Amino acid sequence: MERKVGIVGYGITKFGRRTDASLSELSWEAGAEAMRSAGIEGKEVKGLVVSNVGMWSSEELPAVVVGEALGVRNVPTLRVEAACASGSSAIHTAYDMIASGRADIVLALGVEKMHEVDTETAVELIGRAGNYMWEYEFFGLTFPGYYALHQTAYMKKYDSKEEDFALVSVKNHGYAQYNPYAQFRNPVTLEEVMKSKYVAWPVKLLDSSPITDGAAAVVLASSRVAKELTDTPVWITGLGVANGTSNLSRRRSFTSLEASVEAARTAYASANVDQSAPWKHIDVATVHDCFTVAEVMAYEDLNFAARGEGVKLLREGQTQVGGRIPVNLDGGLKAKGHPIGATGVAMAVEVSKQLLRKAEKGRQADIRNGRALTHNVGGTGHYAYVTIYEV
Amino acid sequence: MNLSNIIKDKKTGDPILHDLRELRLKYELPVGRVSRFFQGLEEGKILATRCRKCGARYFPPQSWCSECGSQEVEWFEPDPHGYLSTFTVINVKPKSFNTFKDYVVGIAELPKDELKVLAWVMEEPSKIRVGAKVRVGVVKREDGLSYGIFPED
Repeated sequence: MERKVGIVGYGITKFGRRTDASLSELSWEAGAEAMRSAGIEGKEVKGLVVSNVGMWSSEELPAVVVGEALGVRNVPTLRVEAACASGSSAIHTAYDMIASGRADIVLALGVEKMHEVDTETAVELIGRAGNYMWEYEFFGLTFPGYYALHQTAYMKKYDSKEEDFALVSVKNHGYAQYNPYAQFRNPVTLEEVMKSKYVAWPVKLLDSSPITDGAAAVVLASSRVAKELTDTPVWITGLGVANGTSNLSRRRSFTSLEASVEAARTAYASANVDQSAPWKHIDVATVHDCFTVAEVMAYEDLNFAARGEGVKLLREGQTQVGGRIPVNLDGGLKAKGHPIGATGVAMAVEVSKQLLRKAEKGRQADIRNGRALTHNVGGTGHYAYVTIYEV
Repeated sequence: MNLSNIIKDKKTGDPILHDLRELRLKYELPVGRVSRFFQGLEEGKILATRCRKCGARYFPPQSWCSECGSQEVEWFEPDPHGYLSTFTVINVKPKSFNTFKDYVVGIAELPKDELKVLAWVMEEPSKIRVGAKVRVGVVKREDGLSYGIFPED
């Protein structure tokens, strides 16, 4: 019998070009805030899971750096990697440590320091995150390129236009202006998105999440300890994870991420959420909008909309506050920023704030069911994590 | 270490220690088990592998079967004709491709053998359409022999 696990504290740094702080310093900012809000000290943490993709940053053993920074000593410590879903993998790993009974308090901390290299090098390193020899070495795919392959296929299959996807950017930038932790707090217009230059046709600069430094942390606890620490734990009640092939040429579809579909199905089943109309049970969601097409595909993969109707859901404002299911009220990866290994943890921080009605003015969802969802994709559907949180 | 190694970040003005230790990475990738593929390119063929036990086909080629676990796989030449599933134009290129002009990456579906091939599309972007008839074939690139997707009438 698994034990119940909940979030009892969280912390997040300002996202952006954080050349003012090292990986250790960013981790301390988020980690210390998380522990303070949980009312614990480093010595009470009995497990430390750090998500960090690295390569662009100099620290080779970030988990050890984080432990030292936060005064967490002599406990099981590890770094986890699931590409852009690393943060969710940290939370799921910490969940397992507690649910299995091996620890009562575990810190999951995601950190990424991407501005220790120049932009060209960062583009190269992210582009290598597919199958190395057959896709990168031979053909120089970039990360926007991977999602562009999906957007082209989607546009053809469902007769949609670049403008349709641009609306994701307009929505997410619109909410980011109310999020003090976001990298870009400027609203953008449809015209501005459409006029931005192509990075990988049909994907434009303003369809793309930026290169970001940042950290986020959550303190997870067993139900017994959680109830001692806080009156308002945020429980993890549904978990779903799936993987996809390394080679994109081995995928069945380019208009959907099969791993997302599978992860959602498992998560909905474990949390008793209606598979066919999940929005009836879920008040707010964060979905993985590394590129605008990714958010549209997520609507359909998560069953927020029928196949081919993601664009319509967006256009009708159903993913804004007051709609069928508000999505990415923190600005999403697009405008809040995407510090790769920190993103999944930042999503957990965001839905905790939403469920506790602590989101900043202008971006708070109506909380009726007390249930939220995070959808975090690694690579181009190479990994997918869906997590359901409840208060 | 002294102050002369500390520079200002060009956007934020924050002080940055300019790393004196430089690391260059160049990998050595083992290809012995798929070397027949590279011989195939010399012969003008794009080769794939097929499991002798369960019939599963693989592109990129591999020397074992992920479906049934068999190590008895054989090389074969798939029908190179198919259609284009999707494509993109790489406008912002990674550092190690920055000497190339913008290139088109696409995925060709080869229906006869139920395989897909990801490669450069050897055509002007404005003339490329999803669903168009294509074939996969060998390409002589400035950086060596490779394979690509060609338009067909």
